[in-house]
Amino acid sequence: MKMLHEERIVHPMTQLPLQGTGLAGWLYASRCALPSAWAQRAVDDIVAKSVPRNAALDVTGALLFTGARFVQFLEGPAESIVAIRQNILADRRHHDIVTFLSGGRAERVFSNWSLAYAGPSLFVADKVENLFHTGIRHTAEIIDLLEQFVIISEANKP
Amino acid sequence: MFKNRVAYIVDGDASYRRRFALALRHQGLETRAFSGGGDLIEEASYLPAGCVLLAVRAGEGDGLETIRALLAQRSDMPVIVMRVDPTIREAVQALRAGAVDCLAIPCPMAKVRLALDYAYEILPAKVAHQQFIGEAAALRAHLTPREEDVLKRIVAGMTNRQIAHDLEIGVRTVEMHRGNIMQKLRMDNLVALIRFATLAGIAGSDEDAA
Repeated sequence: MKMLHEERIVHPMTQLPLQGTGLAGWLYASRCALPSAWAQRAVDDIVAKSVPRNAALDVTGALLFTGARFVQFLEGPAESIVAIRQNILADRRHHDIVTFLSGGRAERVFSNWSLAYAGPSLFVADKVENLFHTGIRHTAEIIDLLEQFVIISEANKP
Repeated sequence: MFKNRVAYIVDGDASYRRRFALALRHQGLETRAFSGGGDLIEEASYLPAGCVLLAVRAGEGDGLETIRALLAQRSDMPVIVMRVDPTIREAVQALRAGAVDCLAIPCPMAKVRLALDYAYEILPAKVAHQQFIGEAAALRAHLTPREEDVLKRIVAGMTNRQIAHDLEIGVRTVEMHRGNIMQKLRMDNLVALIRFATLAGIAGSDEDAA
Protein backbone atom coordinates (compact mmCIF):
# COMPACT_ATOMS: atom_id res chain seq x y z
CA MET A 1 0.00 0.00 0.00
CA LYS A 2 1.21 3.43 -0.89
CA MET A 3 2.00 5.69 2.01
CA LEU A 4 -0.56 8.47 2.22
CA HIS A 5 1.80 11.13 3.38
CA GLU A 6 4.81 10.55 1.33
CA GLU A 7 6.12 14.02 0.69
CA ARG A 8 7.44 15.01 -2.69
CA ILE A 9 9.96 17.80 -2.66
CA VAL A 10 10.20 19.73 -5.89
CA HIS A 11 12.57 22.31 -4.55
CA PRO A 12 15.43 20.75 -2.60
CA MET A 13 16.53 22.51 0.54
CA THR A 14 19.46 24.32 -0.97
CA GLN A 15 18.91 27.34 1.21
CA LEU A 16 19.83 27.71 4.84
CA PRO A 17 19.26 24.60 6.93
CA LEU A 18 16.12 24.54 9.03
CA GLN A 19 17.24 24.90 12.56
CA GLY A 20 17.18 27.14 15.58
CA THR A 21 15.30 30.40 15.68
CA GLY A 22 16.31 31.83 12.30
CA LEU A 23 13.46 32.82 9.98
CA ALA A 24 12.29 29.94 7.82
CA GLY A 25 9.56 29.50 5.25
CA TRP A 26 7.63 26.60 3.74
CA LEU A 27 5.40 26.63 0.68
CA TYR A 28 3.52 23.45 -0.15
CA ALA A 29 0.48 22.33 -2.07
CA SER A 30 -1.60 19.23 -1.48
CA ARG A 31 -4.77 17.55 -2.58
CA CYS A 32 -7.88 17.57 -0.41
CA ALA A 33 -8.77 14.05 0.72
CA LEU A 34 -12.36 14.90 1.67
CA PRO A 35 -15.48 14.92 -0.47
CA SER A 36 -16.44 18.49 -1.33
CA ALA A 37 -19.49 18.44 0.96
CA TRP A 38 -17.18 18.07 3.95
CA ALA A 39 -14.34 20.19 2.70
CA GLN A 40 -15.78 23.57 3.71
CA ARG A 41 -16.23 22.41 7.29
CA ALA A 42 -12.70 21.06 7.30
CA VAL A 43 -11.40 24.44 6.13
CA ASP A 44 -13.38 26.20 8.89
CA ASP A 45 -11.88 23.78 11.40
CA ILE A 46 -8.33 24.22 10.07
CA VAL A 47 -8.68 28.01 10.26
CA ALA A 48 -10.16 27.94 13.77
CA LYS A 49 -7.24 25.81 15.04
CA SER A 50 -4.47 27.44 13.00
CA VAL A 51 -5.10 31.04 14.03
CA PRO A 52 -4.25 30.58 17.73
CA ARG A 53 -1.61 27.88 17.13
CA ASN A 54 0.31 29.90 14.54
CA ALA A 55 0.09 33.06 16.62
CA ALA A 56 1.47 31.17 19.62
CA LEU A 57 4.38 29.85 17.52
CA ASP A 58 5.03 33.26 15.94
CA VAL A 59 4.20 31.80 12.53
CA THR A 60 2.62 33.96 9.82
CA GLY A 61 1.44 33.15 6.32
CA ALA A 62 -1.67 32.26 4.41
CA LEU A 63 -3.77 29.29 3.32
CA LEU A 64 -5.65 28.92 0.07
CA PHE A 65 -8.22 26.28 -0.86
CA THR A 66 -9.54 25.76 -4.37
CA GLY A 67 -12.02 23.02 -3.58
CA ALA A 68 -9.51 20.40 -4.72
CA ARG A 69 -6.16 21.69 -3.58
CA PHE A 70 -4.68 23.34 -0.56
CA VAL A 71 -1.78 25.76 -0.89
CA GLN A 72 -0.13 27.14 2.19
CA PHE A 73 2.81 29.40 2.85
CA LEU A 74 4.17 29.52 6.38
CA GLU A 75 7.01 31.60 7.76
CA GLY A 76 8.44 31.94 11.23
CA PRO A 77 11.18 30.64 13.54
CA ALA A 78 12.70 27.49 11.98
CA GLU A 79 11.80 25.31 14.96
CA SER A 80 8.16 26.45 14.77
CA ILE A 81 8.01 25.67 11.06
CA VAL A 82 9.49 22.20 11.67
CA ALA A 83 6.90 21.49 14.36
CA ILE A 84 3.94 22.67 12.28
CA ARG A 85 5.26 20.85 9.25
CA GLN A 86 5.20 17.54 11.12
CA ASN A 87 1.59 18.18 12.10
CA ILE A 88 0.59 19.10 8.58
CA LEU A 89 2.31 16.08 7.04
CA ALA A 90 0.40 13.82 9.44
CA ASP A 91 -2.99 15.41 8.73
CA ARG A 92 -5.19 12.86 6.98
CA ARG A 93 -7.47 15.47 5.43
CA HIS A 94 -5.00 15.94 2.59
CA HIS A 95 -2.43 13.95 0.62
CA ASP A 96 0.02 14.29 -2.28
CA ILE A 97 1.85 16.99 -0.36
CA VAL A 98 4.41 18.72 -2.57
CA THR A 99 6.96 21.15 -1.19
CA PHE A 100 7.85 24.03 -3.49
CA LEU A 101 9.90 26.17 -1.17
CA SER A 102 11.62 25.35 2.07
CA GLY A 103 14.42 26.98 3.96
CA GLY A 104 15.70 30.24 5.36
CA ARG A 105 13.96 33.51 4.56
CA ALA A 106 15.45 37.00 4.67
CA GLU A 107 12.22 38.63 5.86
CA ARG A 108 8.55 37.96 6.40
CA VAL A 109 5.97 38.57 3.70
CA PHE A 110 2.93 38.32 6.00
CA SER A 111 2.21 40.13 9.25
CA ASN A 112 -0.22 37.46 10.49
CA TRP A 113 -1.75 34.16 9.43
CA SER A 114 -5.08 33.98 7.65
CA LEU A 115 -7.21 32.16 5.16
CA ALA A 116 -6.44 34.00 1.92
CA TYR A 117 -9.15 32.42 -0.20
CA ALA A 118 -11.43 29.39 -0.25
CA GLY A 119 -13.61 29.20 -3.31
CA PRO A 120 -14.32 27.89 -6.77
CA SER A 121 -12.42 30.45 -8.85
CA LEU A 122 -10.90 28.90 -11.98
CA PHE A 123 -8.44 31.79 -12.10
CA VAL A 124 -7.06 30.75 -8.73
CA ALA A 125 -7.21 27.03 -9.55
CA ASP A 126 -5.23 27.65 -12.76
CA LYS A 127 -2.53 29.55 -10.89
CA VAL A 128 -2.20 26.61 -8.51
CA GLU A 129 -2.00 24.10 -11.37
CA ASN A 130 0.70 26.29 -12.96
CA LEU A 131 2.71 25.75 -9.83
CA PHE A 132 2.66 22.00 -10.46
CA HIS A 133 3.58 22.33 -14.11
CA THR A 134 6.33 24.88 -13.83
CA GLY A 135 7.38 24.31 -10.23
CA ILE A 136 9.76 26.68 -8.58
CA ARG A 137 9.51 29.34 -11.27
CA HIS A 138 6.00 30.08 -10.06
CA THR A 139 6.53 30.09 -6.32
CA ALA A 140 6.84 33.89 -6.33
CA GLU A 141 3.59 34.14 -8.27
CA ILE A 142 1.74 31.97 -5.76
CA ILE A 143 3.08 33.91 -2.79
CA ASP A 144 2.03 37.09 -4.60
CA LEU A 145 -1.46 35.61 -5.10
CA LEU A 146 -1.74 34.80 -1.38
CA GLU A 147 -0.41 38.23 -0.49
CA GLN A 148 -2.84 40.07 -2.78
CA PHE A 149 -5.78 38.26 -1.22
CA VAL A 150 -4.60 39.21 2.25
CA ILE A 151 -3.78 42.84 1.34
CA ILE A 152 -7.05 43.47 -0.49
CA SER A 153 -9.08 41.86 2.25
CA GLU A 154 -7.38 44.07 4.86
CA ALA A 155 -8.04 47.15 2.71
CA ASN A 156 -11.75 46.30 2.50
CA LYS A 157 -12.16 46.15 6.25
CA PRO A 158 -14.22 49.06 7.57
CA MET B 1 -26.46 22.23 -21.74
CA PHE B 2 -27.80 25.48 -20.39
CA LYS B 3 -31.49 25.26 -21.29
CA ASN B 4 -33.62 28.13 -19.95
CA ARG B 5 -30.59 29.87 -18.52
CA VAL B 6 -30.00 33.55 -19.09
CA ALA B 7 -26.59 35.12 -19.47
CA TYR B 8 -26.07 38.87 -19.46
CA ILE B 9 -23.05 39.89 -21.47
CA VAL B 10 -21.48 43.27 -20.84
CA ASP B 11 -18.72 44.22 -23.24
CA GLY B 12 -17.68 47.53 -24.80
CA ASP B 13 -16.13 45.63 -27.71
CA ALA B 14 -19.08 45.25 -30.09
CA SER B 15 -17.67 42.59 -32.37
CA TYR B 16 -16.40 40.38 -29.54
CA ARG B 17 -19.70 40.86 -27.72
CA ARG B 18 -21.68 39.63 -30.74
CA ARG B 19 -19.42 36.64 -31.32
CA PHE B 20 -19.45 35.71 -27.65
CA ALA B 21 -23.25 36.00 -27.46
CA LEU B 22 -23.56 33.75 -30.49
CA ALA B 23 -21.18 31.20 -29.00
CA LEU B 24 -23.17 31.16 -25.75
CA ARG B 25 -26.46 30.74 -27.63
CA HIS B 26 -24.90 27.68 -29.29
CA GLN B 27 -24.52 26.32 -25.76
CA GLY B 28 -28.26 26.66 -25.26
CA LEU B 29 -28.18 29.88 -23.25
CA GLU B 30 -30.45 32.83 -23.70
CA THR B 31 -28.36 35.96 -23.92
CA ARG B 32 -28.83 39.69 -23.47
CA ALA B 33 -25.95 41.90 -24.43
CA PHE B 34 -25.08 45.35 -23.07
CA SER B 35 -22.37 47.71 -24.24
CA GLY B 36 -21.66 49.00 -20.74
CA GLY B 37 -22.15 48.13 -17.08
CA GLY B 38 -24.38 51.19 -16.60
CA ASP B 39 -26.94 49.88 -19.10
CA LEU B 40 -27.22 46.57 -17.29
CA ILE B 41 -27.42 48.22 -13.87
CA GLU B 42 -30.22 50.49 -15.12
CA GLU B 43 -32.34 47.49 -16.03
CA ALA B 44 -31.04 45.12 -13.38
CA SER B 45 -34.01 45.20 -11.04
CA TYR B 46 -36.42 44.07 -13.77
CA LEU B 47 -34.35 41.27 -15.25
CA PRO B 48 -34.85 37.56 -14.60
CA ALA B 49 -32.05 36.07 -12.53
CA GLY B 50 -29.06 35.00 -14.58
CA CYS B 51 -25.32 35.02 -14.79
CA VAL B 52 -23.45 38.21 -15.69
CA LEU B 53 -20.35 38.00 -17.89
CA LEU B 54 -18.71 41.36 -17.40
CA ALA B 55 -15.85 42.20 -19.77
CA VAL B 56 -13.58 44.92 -18.44
CA ARG B 57 -11.70 46.46 -21.34
CA ALA B 58 -8.53 48.55 -21.31
CA GLY B 59 -9.39 52.14 -20.44
CA GLU B 60 -12.58 51.16 -18.60
CA GLY B 61 -10.99 51.27 -15.16
CA ASP B 62 -11.00 48.28 -12.83
CA GLY B 63 -14.72 47.47 -13.14
CA LEU B 64 -15.01 47.12 -9.36
CA GLU B 65 -17.64 49.85 -9.05
CA THR B 66 -19.77 48.09 -11.65
CA ILE B 67 -19.49 44.77 -9.78
CA ARG B 68 -20.42 46.41 -6.48
CA ALA B 69 -23.30 48.46 -7.92
CA LEU B 70 -24.68 45.43 -9.69
CA LEU B 71 -24.47 43.18 -6.64
CA ALA B 72 -25.97 45.90 -4.44
CA GLN B 73 -29.08 45.66 -6.61
CA ARG B 74 -28.96 42.02 -7.54
CA SER B 75 -26.99 40.01 -5.03
CA ASP B 76 -28.55 36.91 -6.61
CA MET B 77 -26.70 37.32 -9.91
CA PRO B 78 -23.31 35.58 -10.10
CA VAL B 79 -20.81 37.87 -11.84
CA ILE B 80 -17.92 36.52 -13.88
CA VAL B 81 -15.35 39.14 -14.82
CA MET B 82 -13.50 38.79 -18.12
CA ARG B 83 -10.39 40.71 -19.09
CA VAL B 84 -7.46 40.51 -21.46
CA ASP B 85 -4.47 39.15 -19.52
CA PRO B 86 -5.84 39.75 -16.02
CA THR B 87 -3.10 40.35 -13.48
CA ILE B 88 -3.22 38.59 -10.14
CA ARG B 89 -4.10 41.89 -8.50
CA GLU B 90 -6.97 42.59 -10.91
CA ALA B 91 -8.40 39.10 -10.51
CA VAL B 92 -8.13 39.14 -6.72
CA GLN B 93 -9.76 42.58 -6.56
CA ALA B 94 -12.65 41.33 -8.70
CA LEU B 95 -13.12 38.25 -6.48
CA ARG B 96 -12.95 40.35 -3.34
CA ALA B 97 -15.56 42.74 -4.81
CA GLY B 98 -17.90 39.77 -5.10
CA ALA B 99 -17.26 38.27 -8.54
CA VAL B 100 -17.33 34.46 -8.58
CA ASP B 101 -14.46 34.26 -11.04
CA CYS B 102 -12.17 36.10 -13.42
CA LEU B 103 -11.53 34.66 -16.87
CA ALA B 104 -9.00 35.71 -19.48
CA ILE B 105 -10.18 37.01 -22.87
CA PRO B 106 -10.15 35.11 -25.17
CA CYS B 107 -11.38 32.20 -23.10
CA PRO B 108 -11.89 28.67 -24.43
CA MET B 109 -15.58 27.72 -24.34
CA ALA B 110 -14.78 24.69 -22.18
CA LYS B 111 -13.55 27.00 -19.44
CA VAL B 112 -16.44 29.43 -19.84
CA ARG B 113 -18.77 26.45 -19.46
CA LEU B 114 -17.00 25.34 -16.27
CA ALA B 115 -17.40 28.80 -14.77
CA LEU B 116 -21.05 28.97 -15.87
CA ASP B 117 -21.74 25.48 -14.49
CA TYR B 118 -20.74 26.70 -11.07
CA ALA B 119 -22.58 30.01 -11.43
CA TYR B 120 -25.86 28.34 -12.39
CA GLU B 121 -25.40 25.75 -9.67
CA ILE B 122 -25.37 28.42 -6.97
CA LEU B 123 -27.99 30.62 -8.65
CA PRO B 124 -31.13 29.06 -7.06
CA ALA B 125 -29.75 29.46 -3.54
CA LYS B 126 -28.77 33.05 -4.31
CA VAL B 127 -32.24 33.78 -5.68
CA ALA B 128 -33.85 32.32 -2.55
CA HIS B 129 -31.54 34.39 -0.39
CA GLN B 130 -32.32 37.59 -2.31
CA GLN B 131 -36.04 36.86 -1.94
CA PHE B 132 -35.60 36.30 1.79
CA ILE B 133 -33.77 39.62 2.12
CA GLY B 134 -36.61 41.35 0.27
CA GLU B 135 -39.22 39.83 2.55
CA ALA B 136 -37.13 40.59 5.62
CA ALA B 137 -36.82 44.23 4.58
CA ALA B 138 -40.58 44.43 4.05
CA LEU B 139 -41.30 42.98 7.50
CA ARG B 140 -38.66 45.14 9.12
CA ALA B 141 -40.29 48.27 7.70
CA HIS B 142 -43.13 47.68 10.17
CA LEU B 143 -40.86 48.14 13.19
CA THR B 144 -40.93 51.42 15.08
CA PRO B 145 -37.60 53.23 15.64
CA ARG B 146 -37.67 52.08 19.28
CA GLU B 147 -38.22 48.48 18.26
CA GLU B 148 -35.25 48.85 15.88
CA ASP B 149 -33.14 50.04 18.83
CA VAL B 150 -34.17 47.00 20.83
CA LEU B 151 -33.67 44.60 17.90
CA LYS B 152 -30.10 45.81 17.31
CA ARG B 153 -29.29 45.23 20.94
CA ILE B 154 -30.83 41.76 20.96
CA VAL B 155 -28.69 40.89 17.95
CA ALA B 156 -25.64 42.27 19.74
CA GLY B 157 -26.29 39.66 22.44
CA MET B 158 -27.53 41.97 25.18
CA THR B 159 -29.94 40.72 27.84
CA ASN B 160 -33.28 42.45 28.47
CA ARG B 161 -31.81 44.02 31.60
CA GLN B 162 -28.78 45.37 29.72
CA ILE B 163 -31.03 46.72 26.96
CA ALA B 164 -33.28 48.43 29.51
CA HIS B 165 -30.25 50.02 31.16
CA ASP B 166 -28.73 51.05 27.85
CA LEU B 167 -31.93 52.66 26.53
CA GLU B 168 -32.93 53.98 29.95
CA ILE B 169 -36.32 52.28 29.86
CA GLY B 170 -37.93 49.62 32.07
CA VAL B 171 -37.25 45.91 31.69
CA ARG B 172 -40.99 45.34 31.24
CA THR B 173 -40.99 47.83 28.36
CA VAL B 174 -38.11 45.95 26.71
CA GLU B 175 -40.07 42.70 27.10
CA MET B 176 -43.07 44.36 25.48
CA HIS B 177 -40.98 45.66 22.55
CA ARG B 178 -39.44 42.24 22.21
CA GLY B 179 -42.83 40.60 21.98
CA ASN B 180 -43.97 43.08 19.35
CA ILE B 181 -40.77 42.56 17.33
CA MET B 182 -41.24 38.80 17.29
CA GLN B 183 -44.86 39.21 16.23
CA LYS B 184 -44.16 41.75 13.49
CA LEU B 185 -41.28 39.72 12.08
CA ARG B 186 -43.31 36.51 12.45
CA MET B 187 -40.64 34.81 14.54
CA ASP B 188 -41.25 32.40 17.37
CA ASN B 189 -37.79 31.99 18.79
CA LEU B 190 -34.53 33.84 19.34
CA VAL B 191 -32.46 31.63 17.02
CA ALA B 192 -34.81 32.38 14.12
CA LEU B 193 -34.66 36.08 15.00
CA ILE B 194 -30.87 36.15 15.00
CA ARG B 195 -30.80 34.27 11.70
CA PHE B 196 -33.26 36.76 10.25
CA ALA B 197 -31.18 39.66 11.50
CA THR B 198 -27.97 38.21 10.09
CA LEU B 199 -29.48 37.58 6.66
CA ALA B 200 -31.24 40.95 6.66
CA GLY B 201 -27.93 42.63 7.40
CA ILE B 202 -28.92 44.04 10.78
CA ALA B 203 -25.74 44.59 12.71
CA GLY B 204 -25.56 44.56 16.46
CA SER B 205 -25.83 47.77 18.47
CA ASP B 206 -23.63 50.31 16.72
CA GLU B 207 -22.84 52.08 19.98
CA ASP B 208 -20.72 49.08 20.82
CA ALA B 209 -18.61 49.36 17.71
CA ALA B 210 -15.49 51.43 18.23
